[in-house]
Amino acid sequence: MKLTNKKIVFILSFIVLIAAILRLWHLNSVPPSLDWDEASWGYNSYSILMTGRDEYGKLMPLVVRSFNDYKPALYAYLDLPFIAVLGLTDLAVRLPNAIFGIFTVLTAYLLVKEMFKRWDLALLSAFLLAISPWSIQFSRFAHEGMVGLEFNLLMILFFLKGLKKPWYLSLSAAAGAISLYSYQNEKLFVPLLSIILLIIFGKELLKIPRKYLISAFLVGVFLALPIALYTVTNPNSFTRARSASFLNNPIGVLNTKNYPERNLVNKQNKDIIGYIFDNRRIVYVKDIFGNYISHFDINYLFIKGDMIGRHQPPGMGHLYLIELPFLLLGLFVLLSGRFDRKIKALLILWMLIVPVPASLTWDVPNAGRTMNFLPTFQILTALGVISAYSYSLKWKKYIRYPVYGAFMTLVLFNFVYYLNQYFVQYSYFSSQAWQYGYNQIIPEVKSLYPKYSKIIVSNESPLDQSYIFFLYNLKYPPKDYQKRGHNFDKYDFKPVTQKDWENSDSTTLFISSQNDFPNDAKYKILKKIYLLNGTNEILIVEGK
Amino acid sequence: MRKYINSKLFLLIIITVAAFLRFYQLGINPPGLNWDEAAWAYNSYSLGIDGKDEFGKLPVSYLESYGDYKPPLYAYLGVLPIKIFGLDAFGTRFPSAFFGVLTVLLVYFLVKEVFFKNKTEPKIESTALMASFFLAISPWHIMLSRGAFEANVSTFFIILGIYFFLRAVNKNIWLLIFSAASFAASFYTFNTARIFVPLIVLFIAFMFRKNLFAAKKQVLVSLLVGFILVLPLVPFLFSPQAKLRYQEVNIFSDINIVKTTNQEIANDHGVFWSKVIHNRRIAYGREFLKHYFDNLNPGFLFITGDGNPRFSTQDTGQMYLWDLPFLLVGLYILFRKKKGYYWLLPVWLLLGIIPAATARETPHALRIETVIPTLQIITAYGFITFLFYFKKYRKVVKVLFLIALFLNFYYFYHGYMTHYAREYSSEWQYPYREAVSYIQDEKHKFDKIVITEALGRPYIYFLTYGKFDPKEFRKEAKIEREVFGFVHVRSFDKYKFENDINLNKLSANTLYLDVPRNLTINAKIVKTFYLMDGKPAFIAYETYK
Repeated sequence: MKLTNKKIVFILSFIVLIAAILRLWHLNSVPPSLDWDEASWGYNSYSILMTGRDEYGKLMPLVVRSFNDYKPALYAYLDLPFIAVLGLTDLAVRLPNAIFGIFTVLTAYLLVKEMFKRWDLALLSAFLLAISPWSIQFSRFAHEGMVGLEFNLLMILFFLKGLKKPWYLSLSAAAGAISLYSYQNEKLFVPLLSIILLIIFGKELLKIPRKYLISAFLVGVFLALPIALYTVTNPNSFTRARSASFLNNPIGVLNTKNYPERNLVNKQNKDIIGYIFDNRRIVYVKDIFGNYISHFDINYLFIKGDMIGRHQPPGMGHLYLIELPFLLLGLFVLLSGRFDRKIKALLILWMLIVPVPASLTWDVPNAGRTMNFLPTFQILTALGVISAYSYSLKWKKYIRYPVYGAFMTLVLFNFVYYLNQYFVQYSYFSSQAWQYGYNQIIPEVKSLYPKYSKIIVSNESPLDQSYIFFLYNLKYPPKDYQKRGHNFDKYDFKPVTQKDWENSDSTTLFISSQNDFPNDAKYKILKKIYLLNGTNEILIVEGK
Repeated sequence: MRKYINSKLFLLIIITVAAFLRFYQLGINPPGLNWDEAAWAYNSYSLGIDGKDEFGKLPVSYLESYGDYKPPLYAYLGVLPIKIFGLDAFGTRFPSAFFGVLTVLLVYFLVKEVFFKNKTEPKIESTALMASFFLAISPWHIMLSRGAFEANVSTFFIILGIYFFLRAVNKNIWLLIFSAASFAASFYTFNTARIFVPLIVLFIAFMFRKNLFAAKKQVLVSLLVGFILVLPLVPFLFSPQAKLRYQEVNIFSDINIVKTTNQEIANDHGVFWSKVIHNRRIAYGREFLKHYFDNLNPGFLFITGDGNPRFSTQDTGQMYLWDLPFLLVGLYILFRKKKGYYWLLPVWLLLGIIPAATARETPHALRIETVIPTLQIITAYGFITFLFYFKKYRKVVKVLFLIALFLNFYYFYHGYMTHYAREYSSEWQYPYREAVSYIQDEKHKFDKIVITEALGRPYIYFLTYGKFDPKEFRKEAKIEREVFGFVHVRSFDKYKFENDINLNKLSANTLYLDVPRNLTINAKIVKTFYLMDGKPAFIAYETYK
C-alpha cells in the first residue's frame, strides 16, 4: 500500500488532533487540583513575570530553589506568556506541558520516519504515543520531564538529519543543551545519549566537514555552559540528587543492618572473602541494579504503575495491557529483522540508558524519571502490530476477520477503561495524591480572613509546603513575599503544637490536620475540608 | 570417543558438586526442623513402625497432619531414610536432597530430548551439561533441596514425566506409560502439580497429536495407567476439605475488589457500559494477572529473592544476577533458531506460574518451582550461544565468565554457609530442639508440662525430637478437630498445649514453656532458650514452692 503525501499529512493531522483533545480536554479540572510542584511552578513563574525574580528574590534564575529541590527553571519561563495572558490559573500552569505533550507526538512521527524511513511505522508510533496513558499522564500536569523529553527527541531527530545535512548538528546540540535546563534527570540522560550517538555514528561523523562539527560543539558548549557552571559551583544543586539518592533508601539501610554482626563472625573465622562480600558497597551496587531492572517489571509497566499516585490513575499501568504481546513481538522483530543495524543499536541503547538516572534514586520504579522511554515502547509496539498484521494476511478471510474483530474489541475495551479510570475514577480515588484539600482551604479562609488577626497553618503532613498554596491561590504580591518571606500577612506556617493552642484566643485561626485536634467536642470547628472520596483530613478551627 | 568420555566425566563432576551442595551439613543447616518438616519426620517415623500415620490412619489420598491435608507421598519417601539415619533433620530432608540431585542429572537428559534432532551438535551437548551445572549451583534449587519440601520432589516427577513423554515421542512410544506414572506420582506429592500437570500434558499432547494418533494402543494403555493411579485421589480432590484449603489462600475471595468495582460503577452513575468495564470478573482477572506477573518480578528473580527466608537467603535473587543477560539471549535465540521442541520451554515457564497466580502470597518461589529447569536451560542455551559466537578466544571468554559466575555463586554460598543459620534460625523453629531435650530431662520432677502454642505447633516437636512412640501417642492424645478440618492436639503424656498461658492461674508442680514475657511474682524462670542470634525465644518457668 502506498499513500500519497497528502493523505499522510491528513492522517497525521488527525493523530495530532486526537493527541490535542486527550491532552487539553478538561485540563484545569482533571487531575482534580494542582499539586505542590505545580503550585510552585505557577507562583515562581508569576513572581518572575511581575518582578523578574523567583519567590526567593533571585534575579532571572537558571534554577528555582522551590522546596529546596532546586528545579531547573525552564518550565517557569515557558509558563510566562500563558500566565501573562490567562492570569495565574490552573490552566495557565498546565498548558505549556500539554502543548509540549502534543509536540512530542509530532516529533515522534518525524523521528520514527527518519529512523526507519517508513510512514506506516511512523504514523502508528505517533498514534500510540497520542493515546499513551504514560504520555497523557505527564502532559496533563506541570511536570518538567515532558519538556525535557521533547528536547531530547529533537536532539536525536536533528542528529540523524545532521548526518546528511550537517548544519542540523548544531540544532541537535542546541536541543540537547536546552534539555539540561528543563529537568534534573536530563543532566545525566543527555550526556549518556550523546555518548551513544557518538559511538554508534562515530564513523559517519568523521566524514562530515570539520567546520560543522566544530560549530555544533561550540553551540552545545556555549548553551550548556551556564547550567554546567551553576551545577558544578553551587553545592545546593546537588541537594535534590542527595535527598533522592538510593543511599537514603530505607530498604537499602535495612539490608545492611546485620552487617556489623556478620563481620564479627567473619573476623572470628578469619574469613577475608567474607569481609569483602559483607560490605555495604556491594549492597549499594545490588540496590542500583535492582532499581534499574525494576523499570522492566511487567506489573509496573502494564498493571499497576508506580507507587506515586500522581503518575497513574487507579487500575492502570503506564502502557496498555493489550500492547504487551505486540511489544514483545516488536522487540523480537526489531532484533531479528532486516533493519539498519545502527538504528537497531540506537533504539536498544536508548532504552537501556533511560533508567540509569532513576536507578540512582530510591523511589523506584518511577515513571516520571523514566519518561525518556517515550516513545520507544510505542515504536516497538507499532512494529509488533505491523508484523502481526502482515503475518495474519496468510490466514483465510473467515479466520482473519473474526480475529481482527476480537482484537479491536479488546483495544477498544482497554482504551475506554483507561479513559474512564483517568477522567472519572481518578479524581475520586486519588484526590489526596493531588493535594486536593489544600486548594479547597483558600476560599474558606478568604471569607474568614477579616475576623481573625492571626492564621496558623500547619506545614506538616498532610499540609506539607502549605505556604505555596496560599501564595498561589491568593496571588499574593511576589514583591511583598520576597521581602517578608515565609510568615507573610497574618499567616504563620509551622507545625501546630499544644503550646500554640494554649496561647491562642478567639482571634486566632488554626488550619491543620485532624490529628492535631483529636477530640472534636473541645474545639470550635468552623469548617471541615473533605477529599473527593468523602474522607476528611483538614480542619479549620477557631482558637480557644 | 574422547569427547564422549569427557562429557560423562563433566556430568559426574556436576553431580558431585550438586550432591555436595545439597547434602553437606544437611542436618544442621537449615538449623532446625520447621513445623512442616517436623510433621513429615514424625509421620514417616510412624509409617515406618506400623504403616500408619501419627493419628493411626493409612494415608492414601492425603495426610491429615495439622488439617492441611498434605499430599502423602513425601511421608512414604521418608520412611527408609529415617530408619537408616534416625528420626532427625538429615533423614527428614534426605528425600528432597536426593531427588534434588537426581533432578540435576535428569535435566541433562531432558535437554537432549528437547533438542533431539540436534543432539549430536557440540552446542547442544554443551547446553545440556551447562543447564545441569546451572541447576546444580542454583540458589533457588539448593535452598529448596535442603529443606523437606515436597515441592522439590514433585518437580522431579514432573520433569521425569515430561522427559519420558519426549523420549516416547523421540524413541519408543511405550515409554508413555512411565510418563503417565511419573505425572501420577507428582499428584501425590504437591498440590500445584494437580493444576500444572493437566495443563502441560494437554499442551504437549496437542503439539504431538500426530505421533499420538499413530500409536492409539500405547496412548490408551498409558491413559489407563495414569487414570488408575490417580483414581484413589479423586474423591478427595472434590471434597469440601480440599476446596476449603484452596479458598483460604486464593485471590478470588478478596471482598475489597468487589467494593472497588461497585464504587467505580457508582461513580459512573451506574450506566450499562460501566457495569461492563467494571465487571468484577474483569477486576479479578486483573488481580490474577498482577499475581501472575509478580512471579516475573525482576527484583524477585535477580536481586532479593523470595521474601520468605525459608526459600531464599535474601542475599541473592532466585537466580544469579549473572544469569540475566544469558537468559534474555537464550530466549531470543530460542525463537530465532527454532531448534527442536523449542516451544516447550517458554510454554512450560508460562504454565508453571499459573498455580501460584491464584494465591494471595506472590511471588512464591516454592509454588513456581516447576519452572526452574526451564530458566536454567534457557540461560545455558544463551550462554553457550554466546560462547560459540567467539571463535578465537572462546576458552578465554569462557574462563572469564565462569570466574564471574563463581564469584556470584560464592557470594550466595558464603551467606548461606556462614550467616544464614544464625540470621534466620527463628524461621526454622530452632529453639524447639533444645527446649524438648531439656524438658525431657526435667520431666520426671513435674506432674504436668504446659506449653504455649504461640510459636506454631509445639506438639509435633515433642513427638519428633522426643522420639515418642506413635502407638502410645494415639492412645493418650487428646485431639480436637475444627469444623474447617484444623487439628489441635491438646495434650498427651504429661504435655499440655495452651493457646495462651494465664499467669494468674499457675499451678504447682508444673513446668511452663512460654514465649519471653514478664512473669508475676509467684513464678521464676528456670531456663531460657535462645535463637542462634542470641535473642530469647522461649522461657521455662515454674511457681515458687
